[in-house]
Amino acid sequence: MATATQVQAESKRGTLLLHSWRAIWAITRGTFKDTWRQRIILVLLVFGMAVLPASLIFSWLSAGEEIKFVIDTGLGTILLFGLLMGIFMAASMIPLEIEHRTIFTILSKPVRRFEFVLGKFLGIALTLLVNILLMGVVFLVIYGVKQVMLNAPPFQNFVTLIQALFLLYLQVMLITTIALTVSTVASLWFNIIFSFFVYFVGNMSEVIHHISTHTQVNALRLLMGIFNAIVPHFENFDLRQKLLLGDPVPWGYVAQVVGYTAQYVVVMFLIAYLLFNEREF
Amino acid sequence: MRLRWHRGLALGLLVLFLVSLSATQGRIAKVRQEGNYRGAGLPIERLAELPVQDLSLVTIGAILGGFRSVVANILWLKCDEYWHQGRVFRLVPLAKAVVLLEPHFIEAWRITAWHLAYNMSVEAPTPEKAREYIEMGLKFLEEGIKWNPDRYELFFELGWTYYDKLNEYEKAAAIFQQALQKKDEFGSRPPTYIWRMIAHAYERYPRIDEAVRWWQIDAQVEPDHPVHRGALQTIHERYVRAWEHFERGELDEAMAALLEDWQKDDPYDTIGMHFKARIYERKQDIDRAIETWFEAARHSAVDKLARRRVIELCRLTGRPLPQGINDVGLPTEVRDEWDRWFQENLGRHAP
Amino acid sequence: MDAILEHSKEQKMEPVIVTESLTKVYKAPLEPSVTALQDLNLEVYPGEVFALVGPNGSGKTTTLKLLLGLIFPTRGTARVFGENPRSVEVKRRIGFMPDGPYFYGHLTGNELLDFYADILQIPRSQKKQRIEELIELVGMKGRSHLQVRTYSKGMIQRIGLAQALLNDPELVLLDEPTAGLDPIGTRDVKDIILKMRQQGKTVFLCSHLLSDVERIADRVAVLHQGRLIRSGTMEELLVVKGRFEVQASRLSAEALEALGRMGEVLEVADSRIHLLLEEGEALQKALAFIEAKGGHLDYLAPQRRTLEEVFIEAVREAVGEEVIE
Repeated sequence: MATATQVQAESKRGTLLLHSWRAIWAITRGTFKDTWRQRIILVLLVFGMAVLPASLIFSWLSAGEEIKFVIDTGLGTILLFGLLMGIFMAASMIPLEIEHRTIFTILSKPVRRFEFVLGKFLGIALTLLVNILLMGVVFLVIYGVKQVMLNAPPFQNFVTLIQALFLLYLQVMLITTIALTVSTVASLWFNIIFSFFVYFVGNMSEVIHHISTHTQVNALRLLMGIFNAIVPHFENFDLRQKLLLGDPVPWGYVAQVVGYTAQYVVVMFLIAYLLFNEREF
Repeated sequence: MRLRWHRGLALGLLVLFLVSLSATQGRIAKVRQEGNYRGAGLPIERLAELPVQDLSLVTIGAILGGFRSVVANILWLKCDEYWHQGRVFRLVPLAKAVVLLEPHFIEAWRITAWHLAYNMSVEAPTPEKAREYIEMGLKFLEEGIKWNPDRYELFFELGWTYYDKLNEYEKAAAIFQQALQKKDEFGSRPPTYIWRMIAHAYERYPRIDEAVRWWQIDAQVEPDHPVHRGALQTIHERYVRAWEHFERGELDEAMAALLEDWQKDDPYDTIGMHFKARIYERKQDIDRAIETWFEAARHSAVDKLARRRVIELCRLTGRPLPQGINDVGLPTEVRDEWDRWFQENLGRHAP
Repeated sequence: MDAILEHSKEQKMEPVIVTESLTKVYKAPLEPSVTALQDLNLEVYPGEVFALVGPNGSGKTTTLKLLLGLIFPTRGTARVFGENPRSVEVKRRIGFMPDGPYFYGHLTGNELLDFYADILQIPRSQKKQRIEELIELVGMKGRSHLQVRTYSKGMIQRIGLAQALLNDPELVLLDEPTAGLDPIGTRDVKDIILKMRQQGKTVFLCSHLLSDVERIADRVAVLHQGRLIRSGTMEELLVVKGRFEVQASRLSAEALEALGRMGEVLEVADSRIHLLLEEGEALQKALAFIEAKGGHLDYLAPQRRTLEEVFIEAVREAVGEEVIE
């Protein structure tokens, strides 16, 4: 009985989110370890790292185009595999917990529903960080090798490349967050399809913006304006032109994109909070 | 119940953050616009101008997102493969897809235009078809220029095609001069050989005054390069005197000066031949003009200007075209036919 | 144990669980709605073992989920410790063991309990000791370092119990705690439940294994197709008023026959007889007869039915009512 009262007393202090960090961290750790056991993540990682050196093989383009090819293929590959991992993990996380019924034991414990989602989210974020870091290192090595092969300085553009990788991580996290939010109420397959749909729409965001500012048709303007406000703007994360020109990217810009991502994530979290609280099991 | 006001708070925060999100996005969009981040992006501004059949490809490009350039690269490698297999005709539709996906892929525009204007035109079944392919190549470059108006490479390629494939020297020179104001991929000045090309183009028309001017500019642009010294010297020795007469309308003196300064040195020099023909034209001596252009054409199988002038002058004077010379002004194996034409129309042997 | 129950009732202690007209209707978009639970009225008092019984699909799990805040009532209310079950405060005081629990298979028993302990925010200084105690309690000592996916059904149930008790809860909710267990496992689980009651905990369990429930529950509620068709203490339900069960031996054949005519014979063999007798005159007569005939009274007690018998009767009534309606 002593334990019970003690536990209750300690926990009473934490009616705010702050005090439950220990619980959230436990879920995060558990999720992180769990993801590595899912074979598909390992397969994607190994595959991704294997595909990257393939861009070295294509060497009969002109010099300017060759390095562009390496950068495009490298970043494109990491983005693709990062997305696949992120979407798969986020979409399956909650449906699998429900299917395996592990969610019942957790939700019957004194952890708020949203804290559960948050813990899962952080676990996925950590996994993605490690994965993208690994692939990123392989990519940078290949880039360096290619530069040397072209008699160019291997560390040219290095800072910009790292910024590009960081923004790539943010982009993957953004889609992952959307997928996780939808997974609080949707089934696995719906979620996967929806996430890819969001990805495509996000790529069209520039077009949407263009139409919303240039069209004469008022209804279209309004519609596109709304889309423009809610659609994730993926072009924000694209630094390839700067890489091509060898222009440095100011850290202020990176900070702005971080701010954008953070706000979008908060919006998604609020939606997830509302949705998950109403969810029945 | 406690949960209810939590819900209200959450909704309120949601709206708040959506608004601030929009604001942030607006700021970022502005930075991207002004900071030249967007080059590798979608060809949005030109969307409205694209023919409908291309829109589906652009949509696919949009959907592909960041992988657009990877796909374009792979398709381009395929084009290269086709070329090395000798299947030039095959690669063109694929190349068109490549440039729609990646409109800023300069190499793709340039090389494809080269395939059209050169490799495909020489394999064409008829001269008319050949001319068609050249036109396609030119149009392709012009399209590429619309997407990349600030890059010199496509201007140069266009100018070169006019210069080399069609021998339209004035047009070539004008386009080369446009190229001078553009930049390369790193934002630097275009290469110095463009100045030389302008000078060469003017030489062959001939526009000796412009040629001299541009060689002098070239001397300032690349003082250490040996060509302009030799070129200026040659021009001064052979043509400047004649040109001065020519400009003043003293055509007989011009011809005399020209023949004296030039012909003994290098009787088959294209510049001299063209100059001679131009003087005859100015003198309204069409027969001699045609003769001279013919001579130029015979001595240089690749002198399309000469062939073209023959046709134009024949038309002007209502003479029938020499047999073997095609409407297009492109080289064919015609030596005996020309000889025969000369006999029939001008009453003498071909020079 | 009944003393505690009586005590709490006398003190008019607040019931731990109260449901009022609790109803749950599931509505799928293109399908007809399903009433999983209809107007359930229940009270569970502190310190008792309360069993909710009924066949699969009768609404037991639905009730449990409603009490855990996993699903929400369509009508009516459910209160645990006087609060809405969704409250985090409530969850601090309860423990739950789900039916056929699947846990993160790659963890060991220890790691699993450690994980839940962190979620419960059990003070780190006490965590290790607590886990050891529980592992001992559920009989998993020496096997808790193995991965959960290697566990037998019995081991899974044990570890499931352990995690339910981690925070030393006042109320423990168990869903089918003995399902799929061998006799030893079943006995162990029952022992643990009784131990919990000894500690003053309240136990709410759902089961379709009526015989298991019979031995440990204080009060029972019977569900059938979402409705409560019987409820009461074990005594109230099982004891048949006005009838006694008698066993006698060392009687002659005629004596046996005569005795047999006085009541309802359940069994007769050799010189023994086992029969049911009406209270009062019939009983007195029979007892006198046995003594007179030199027989031995082996057993005398009020007739008890099994829970199963009660259940079947209740269902028949309910179905009959429906037919009449």
